[in-house]
Amino acid sequence: MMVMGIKGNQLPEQDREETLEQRLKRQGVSRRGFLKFCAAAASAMALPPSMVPAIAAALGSVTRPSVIWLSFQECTGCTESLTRSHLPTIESLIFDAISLDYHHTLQAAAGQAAEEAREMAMEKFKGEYLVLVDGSVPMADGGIYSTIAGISNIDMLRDTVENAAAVISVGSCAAFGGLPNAEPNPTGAVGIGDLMEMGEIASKPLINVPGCPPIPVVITGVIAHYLTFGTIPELDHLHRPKSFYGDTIHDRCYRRTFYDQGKFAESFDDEGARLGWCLYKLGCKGPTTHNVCATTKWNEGTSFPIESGHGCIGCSEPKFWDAGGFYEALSEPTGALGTAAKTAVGVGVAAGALSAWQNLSKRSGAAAEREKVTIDDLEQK
Amino acid sequence: MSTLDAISIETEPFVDINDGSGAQAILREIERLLEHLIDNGEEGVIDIKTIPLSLHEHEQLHYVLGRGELTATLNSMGKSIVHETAIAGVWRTIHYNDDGDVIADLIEVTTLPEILKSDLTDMQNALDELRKRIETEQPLIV
Repeated sequence: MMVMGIKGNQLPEQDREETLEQRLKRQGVSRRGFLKFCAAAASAMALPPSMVPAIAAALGSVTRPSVIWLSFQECTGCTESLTRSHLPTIESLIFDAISLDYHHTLQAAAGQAAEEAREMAMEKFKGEYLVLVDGSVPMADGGIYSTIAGISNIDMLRDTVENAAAVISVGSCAAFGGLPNAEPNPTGAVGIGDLMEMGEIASKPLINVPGCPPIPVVITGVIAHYLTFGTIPELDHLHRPKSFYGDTIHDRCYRRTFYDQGKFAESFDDEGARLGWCLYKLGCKGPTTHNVCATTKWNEGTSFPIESGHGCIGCSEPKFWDAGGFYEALSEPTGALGTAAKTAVGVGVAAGALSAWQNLSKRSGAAAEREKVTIDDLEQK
Repeated sequence: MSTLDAISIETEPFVDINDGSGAQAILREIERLLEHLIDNGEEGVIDIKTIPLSLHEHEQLHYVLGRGELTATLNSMGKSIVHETAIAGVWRTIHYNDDGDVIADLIEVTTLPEILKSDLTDMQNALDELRKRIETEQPLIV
């Protein structure tokens, strides 16, 4: 794991002025190596490989932006996700390509020295720096439930975002409130987008990168996109990059074949489970969860939860923790429905739609904020 | 022996469940790209790392494309292997990082992948280097 210097990662001026191509060249990386980096970056950004020349041209001209990473009410899983990858990888190269001026988990400095590094970066790169946030912000009781160096999270965020170029919320806590926001939400935890809407912090271009945690290359891919093109990628209605969150897990799942054939595992140890059949009836939230786990996968492309035999829990969606049981099928009844309706879920696509409708109409509160899906909806995709 | 070691591990046989339609779709796309290259001279590329293919489909894809007579290895930021398939104009480029993990796996439909070509700036620098070497590095005469 990289550890920053005593006062952050304060770079000599000439290093900040270098483009990524110049920096790699100085490190002995050839033009071919640079093109290879661009090909890997395109793959990481979920861009078509035909974009490689555009990426190469862009990276040959941009310099390193200052990045301030703020960690609030979080478990550090997002930072762990980012840094657990083996080095050197595309991730480490991306970190060579930005100037990470403040990250209190990674930097050696603490307290006053750390805060000075943040303030220095904010002053020097006013209007240009990028703010990355992981963790939600507690708003109850004046925000006293989480402080850093004696500064409440909301005060630090308000101060830091004021002159930022853009904000990236890393992980479901920063994006949507996440687990701290789960009922009964004793700290009044909210996500960054909500704080902008509430007028608690300045409104800036916002990219949400949800997940609990997000996939490392998705985090770096979004940073790489900003670094490369100087713009935020195309976003969906929840401010998630469409390139990573445009499809559902179900859309790209290798078990989709079995779903289409109506072959479902009924329990985690039955014949269907052993044969790798669809986990829909065991509570898989793949049909309503937008993420790239099924294609990018985890642990350097090794596998993803469904490939390991467990359904998706929907961690990149708002309020996933309060959206019903992880082991309840999306269209299985949660209330007291008749036996006929319960049976319908299992016996056929058309019949299942009725049960799905009945079930979905019964859901309320957190579940109501999730995208609804019926077997008919899935068939139409 | 620790407690964890005492737990026996049973390995389930791998079940490959896909029917090969993914490989067929990619092959048809390669066919279209090759037609386009021949007719219009425009290159195409497919990143197969981002496409959910089963092992069977990967094997099917590469079995159909076969292996041509040219293979090149690049050693920069990890190894890269570029080879022409048995279908002229269809190349496979696999980029690895320093740990040997695949970071990009491309099917390129082109007369020659860009990464194999010499870069103009590199050639200009190389010309200076060559002139320097001619002046300073003479072969040993025994």
